[in-house]
Amino acid sequence: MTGHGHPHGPVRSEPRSPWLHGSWLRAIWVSFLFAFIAIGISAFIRYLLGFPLHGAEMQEVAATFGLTFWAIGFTVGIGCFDYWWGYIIGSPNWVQEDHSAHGAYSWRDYFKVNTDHKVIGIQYLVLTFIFFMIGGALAEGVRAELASPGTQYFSPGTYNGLFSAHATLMIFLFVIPSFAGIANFVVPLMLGAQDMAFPRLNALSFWLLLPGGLIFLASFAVGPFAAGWTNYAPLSVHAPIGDTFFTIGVQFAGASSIATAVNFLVTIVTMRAPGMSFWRMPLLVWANLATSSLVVLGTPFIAGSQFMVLYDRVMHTHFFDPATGGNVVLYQHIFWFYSHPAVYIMMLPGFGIISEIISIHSRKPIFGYRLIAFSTVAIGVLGFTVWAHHMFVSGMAPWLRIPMMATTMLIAVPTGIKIFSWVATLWDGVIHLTTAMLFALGFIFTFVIGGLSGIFLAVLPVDINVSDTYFVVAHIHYVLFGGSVFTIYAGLYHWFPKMTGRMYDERLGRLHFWLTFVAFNATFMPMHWLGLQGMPRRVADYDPRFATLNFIISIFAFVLGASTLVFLYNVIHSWARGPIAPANPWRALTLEWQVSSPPPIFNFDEPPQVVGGPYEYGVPGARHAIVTVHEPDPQFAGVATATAVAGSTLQREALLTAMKHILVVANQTVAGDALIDAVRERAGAEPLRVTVICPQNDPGGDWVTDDRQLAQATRERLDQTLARLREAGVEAAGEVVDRDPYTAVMDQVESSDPPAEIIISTLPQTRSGWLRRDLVERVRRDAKIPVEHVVVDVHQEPAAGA
Amino acid sequence: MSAIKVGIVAIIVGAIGTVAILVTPSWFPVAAAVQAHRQDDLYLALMIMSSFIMAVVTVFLVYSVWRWRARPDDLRDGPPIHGNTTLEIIWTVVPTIIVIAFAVAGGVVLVKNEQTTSQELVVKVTGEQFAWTFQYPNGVVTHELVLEKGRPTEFAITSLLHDVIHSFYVPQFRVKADAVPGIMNYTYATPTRVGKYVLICTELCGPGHSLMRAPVQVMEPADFTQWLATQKSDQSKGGA
Repeated sequence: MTGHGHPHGPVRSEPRSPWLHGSWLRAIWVSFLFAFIAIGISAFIRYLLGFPLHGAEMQEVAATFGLTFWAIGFTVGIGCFDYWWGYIIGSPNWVQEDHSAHGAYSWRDYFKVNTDHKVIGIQYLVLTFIFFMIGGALAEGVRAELASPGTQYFSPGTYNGLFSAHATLMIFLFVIPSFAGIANFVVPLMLGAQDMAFPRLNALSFWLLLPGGLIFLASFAVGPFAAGWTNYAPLSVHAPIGDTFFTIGVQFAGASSIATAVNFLVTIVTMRAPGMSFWRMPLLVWANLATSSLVVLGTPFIAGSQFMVLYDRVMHTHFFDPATGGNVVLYQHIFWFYSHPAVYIMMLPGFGIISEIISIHSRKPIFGYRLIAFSTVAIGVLGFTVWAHHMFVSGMAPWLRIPMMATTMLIAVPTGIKIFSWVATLWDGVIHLTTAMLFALGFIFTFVIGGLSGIFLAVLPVDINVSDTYFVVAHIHYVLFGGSVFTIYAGLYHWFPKMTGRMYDERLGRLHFWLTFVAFNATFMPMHWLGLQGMPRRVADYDPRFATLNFIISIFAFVLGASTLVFLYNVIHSWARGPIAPANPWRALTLEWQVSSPPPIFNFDEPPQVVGGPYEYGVPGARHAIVTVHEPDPQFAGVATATAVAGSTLQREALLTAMKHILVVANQTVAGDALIDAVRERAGAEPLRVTVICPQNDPGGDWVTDDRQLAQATRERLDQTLARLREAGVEAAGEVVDRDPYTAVMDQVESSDPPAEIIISTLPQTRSGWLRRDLVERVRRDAKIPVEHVVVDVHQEPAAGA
Repeated sequence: MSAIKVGIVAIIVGAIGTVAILVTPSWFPVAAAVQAHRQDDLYLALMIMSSFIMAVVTVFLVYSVWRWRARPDDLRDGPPIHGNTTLEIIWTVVPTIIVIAFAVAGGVVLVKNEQTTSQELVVKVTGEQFAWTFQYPNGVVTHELVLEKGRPTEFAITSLLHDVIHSFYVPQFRVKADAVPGIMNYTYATPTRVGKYVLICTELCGPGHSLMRAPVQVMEPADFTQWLATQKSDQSKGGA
């Protein structure tokens, strides 16, 4: 217990200069130093060879080396490699892992390299949401331009850059990594593991993402990449320098993705808790197993395709130049060999999230668990056999079209299985329409539409007609927004209490859902019709007969964008001031809900023993796992709330909620039997931790408080109370506070260790100064947590302690 | 209400949807080729299938939520139903049959759409940033695509060698093929309706992509022959 676990972070023997140790400051100077050295070396070699040091070619070379090494330098500077580097060079300051970069002790730790999967999960989710909003703003730019025909706000080149960057950010910096963020937080907990298999690799994966995203955005400074996120050659090869930013940004986003996927595969295969057989894994874990396999097998292909474009641009390799033996269609084969499985990379984790939510919030076992798991694997396998359905009009080998149509249509079968199974799970359930559940239900509706339009697109003659029209735009938004984004929202609401330790506001959540759901359908449904009528995609200008519909679509697109602000407000406000979340607000069985909210730094004190399936709702006496919680380590106080248990080490069963924190407010009545009985009664139901406060001051001024004798007497009564509570097996602490009772209570409610319930003890109505000032009502109104009022009639009770 | 009754309601809703689909006056621009009519029929069949699937999922979903919605303080669990093998087999096999049927239909239509005959007109189409060029068998080169009503036409489509990919699309014909540098790509249409249409580029090809269009005209056979002859003589004069 030496290295980790100091209340204010690990002990460090000497102050560390931010210039020389992993920090943002070092990230900035090291990244630019790396970039300048790389550009300098390449320029020097060009100089030696007699090539000019100016002009387009030099710019391409400088961009290629500068951006690549800038990004690598960033990860070095921020500190991703410090541990490995110290080990490799045998640094005398290097110490065996002391967990000093593990877990967040203050908000600042979220801005550093951290190896805790929960911290990394939240880092992912916050960063990706920022990119989601940037990508959304780009989409609003597209819709502003399309609100009427002709060109208004953007030149065609900039317009092409807007939708290219929109798609790129949404895919590589939002959907894929935000699923990685949710899985990072949840999957190790679900498995009963203490962390991911490779925590330092996990941190590196996250920190590769940020430079990748910044490179995409930086392209706007030099003229954005404008060949679509598909970056088809030869348009991309001929494009201005912005395209180089795309080809390099993809490498970092892709490397991040691959490293995370390897990490998930190893974690899921090797770090399952005892008893967690494959057939007892939650479906989210199954989904991430399949997704990670797709990423590991597929992502190298997009990396390769973009390297080939980059080489064609910078080194004139002619991979895609037909005049010198290159092949244009080859690019599309390599690109889609990743980018079609990428659709499932962006969908399977969402399927996993929905399986969790539908089962938990309708209080029923998931219908057909094994068939859903099989269908997940089937989608993963079939996903690699359908890539050329993106190329039906591309001029590829004609015979390939019908086989690809057949495999594509077969994918509808496992997808359908999932949808029917979710609906059957709802049947005869006890359905709780939480915001998470609303998004899950909304997802089923929108995804069925997206899935069905996918079948249209698989049928060759129909695809030949509508490919590259707005029908395709509608389809991909139905699967990637109505699919992926809805599931991400559902997951964020579902796990918000676990991640933050706070409850979100359900009313705002419902508002967010309905705004999103209505605006989404109103935005994208009419696009199907535009496509059928022959409006091509990726155009800034269009036939005026589509003007009215496009104007309406743009209005709803702005509403859809605004709906995000409701979510943002809800998250920020609830994270700071929402009611404290219990360990298991949804009464779920899976392991992440059996630890405190937020979970302790190392998740589990002992590996949980898994004894059954994860969705045994309604089965009498069934449980998924038995979790052992040790006596609290005082060093973790304030970090791991509510894991404390009275007495010595205690086996506590998984189905119990974690230890509850109760605030007792009393002054003259502090040792009253009625009060102590009220606390004991709660202690009988669940493990408790009690803080007793005795407010002594009264700014109202109608009684004397500055009385040492009175304070001394209160102190004695308090000590007796604490002793009696401890006898009853309750963990109790307390103090006499020098404030008026309302302020004292609210201070506790807003402290870093807030209570889950308040008991206010007063004298009977006629003799209580607190009741005369409506203390109980005011606290009930403002604290937003349960408040119980206990009346103690001191005169009826024998003198306390006598 | 039992599941069977809800299922009956779903089928009724699907049938109402089908009627709505069939009475909708126009899903597409006017059909001006044999291929277009085949595509439209296939599309309608897909819409009707979708109407029933959508109805089944939505009706069961909405009914379940309406019927079994619980208050937040309701702490009961639902019945522990883990699955039903018969149902699971049904919803694996039935969709498989549906998609195989549509795959077969799609394949048949594709093959019919691309049948070649000996009297077909072959037009060579070349895309470049940002214009279309059409070359007829007699050597006539135009920037307007003129076709003969009722005559099967093969479009041999390519792009200039140092250019980028474009895509040939006439919405009224419902056919499309990319113009790719270095390879010849083919698509087929048999125009059935005299009129003027627009060929639009549907593959992002640069800043001028939105405006890369060409006029298309379908003529009666007599008019077409005369047009081709006039073009021929004009161009020989121009070239002389």
